[in-house]
Amino acid sequence: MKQKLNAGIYKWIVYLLVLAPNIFASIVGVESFPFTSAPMFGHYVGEETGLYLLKFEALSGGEYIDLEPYYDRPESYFIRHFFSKVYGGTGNISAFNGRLSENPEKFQARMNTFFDDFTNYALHHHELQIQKINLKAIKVDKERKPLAEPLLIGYYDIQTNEYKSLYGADK
Amino acid sequence: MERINNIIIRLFNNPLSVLRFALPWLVAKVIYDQLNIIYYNSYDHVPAFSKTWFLHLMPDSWLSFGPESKFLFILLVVCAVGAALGIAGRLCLLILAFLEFLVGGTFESLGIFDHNSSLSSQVLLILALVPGTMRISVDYFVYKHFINKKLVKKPNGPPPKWGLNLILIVLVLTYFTAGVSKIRHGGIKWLDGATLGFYLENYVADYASGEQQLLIANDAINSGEHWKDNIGFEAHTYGNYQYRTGFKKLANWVAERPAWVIAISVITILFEFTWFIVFINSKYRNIYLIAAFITHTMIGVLMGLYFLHYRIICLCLLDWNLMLKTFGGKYGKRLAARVQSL
Repeated sequence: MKQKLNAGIYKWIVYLLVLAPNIFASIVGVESFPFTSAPMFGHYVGEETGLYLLKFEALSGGEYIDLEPYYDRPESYFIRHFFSKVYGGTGNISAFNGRLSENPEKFQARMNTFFDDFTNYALHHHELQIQKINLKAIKVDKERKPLAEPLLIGYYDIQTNEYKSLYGADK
Repeated sequence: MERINNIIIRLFNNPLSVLRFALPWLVAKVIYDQLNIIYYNSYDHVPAFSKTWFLHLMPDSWLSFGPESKFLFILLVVCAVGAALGIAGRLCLLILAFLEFLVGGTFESLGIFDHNSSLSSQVLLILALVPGTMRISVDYFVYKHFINKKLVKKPNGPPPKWGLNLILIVLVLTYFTAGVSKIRHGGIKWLDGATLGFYLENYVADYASGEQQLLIANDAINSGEHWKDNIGFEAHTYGNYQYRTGFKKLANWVAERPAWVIAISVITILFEFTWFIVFINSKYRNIYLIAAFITHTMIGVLMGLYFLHYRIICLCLLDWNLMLKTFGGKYGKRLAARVQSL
């Protein structure tokens, strides 16, 4: 009898252990390996949808250079890491990470850390002295043909170790 | 012949053991590949902000996979063999699941969430914890013949069903949440087929590095409150990784037919939302699992995303007794009757 009761309790503990994080990720709409809300292909892409390429452009030795050759990993890894884990989507909950809240302070801290890490990496692995990094977005069509001039959305200044968003700067 | 019948009956009554034999190799291979990618992409640490929930529980020193992590490769081989053959099987399954939570989590921090191994690593964890996993294993043989000879009265009888049901629930939940995500993020207009058409033709390898990874920004977001930029980024895109010319032509052919992509989109949503009916009876269960197998095969053909782990899991979860009855003729029916009588 006692053995049966223990087996029953054990069964429900295993169910809870496995299902609780899966159900939580599903309801909240986040993912944190191995738990996922399965956002693959979920965001709508139609004729009117804005598609963008992200560009990191560094001021080094008095000229601006594209940082893509310095990613040292496939571009998709670099940009997905940056977008999913660092930048995050608009809104409090992003489908591509496990964060349950978002605010300007957290965003600022992540951006500062990311750029600080990257400038250190570029210095130590490529001897690339960076003074400033511009973050630009280029609106493109599905074949990657630019539809507009690159838009500067923010920059990182190594002097202040701070990322500055240009949101609202033109208003 | 009787011997073969007994083996078939034994296998059909122990799907968890079959799954335990099939999955560890695949997960170990994924971990090995991920370790290589992490190492060769100069990924020297995981920033705190990009840690998964699981990685937050781990010490930082465990999240660095340099050349010294060679011992991990040895551990992987030992655990894959141990888990598959059932030599200290549960321990090996636990270690493999743990390693994939650790390495797969780090891989996600690098930017890529492996949805294939996210399910299979959880299935390994479940197999380590539920009854019935070790019924065909070296551990079982040793225990039965050398330690406790009275262990099992009916060696061919079915084990408790709750382990298999738990795996099925996780699978159902995964498909259901995929359906929910499409409506949550894409809205009802996701059904117009445009998204599917886009992904069928988004061959990222056709573009130069620097032009492969797109971000999605939807106008609807721009009207809401946001403060990071003036664009309103919503998501990153995924890619079509099919490289074979013939399959690419087929994908393009489908993408260029609006009626087809609309139909596939609607069927996909209906399919994902109705997975719960697999619990009604084995007939529905088999229909859905076979449909999932075919769907993943087709996605593999059209997009290069073969989801082998999912397909293996679907095959192992089939009610093979019912398959025998339905497609096995007189022999199958006789054998199925024997399985049921146990």
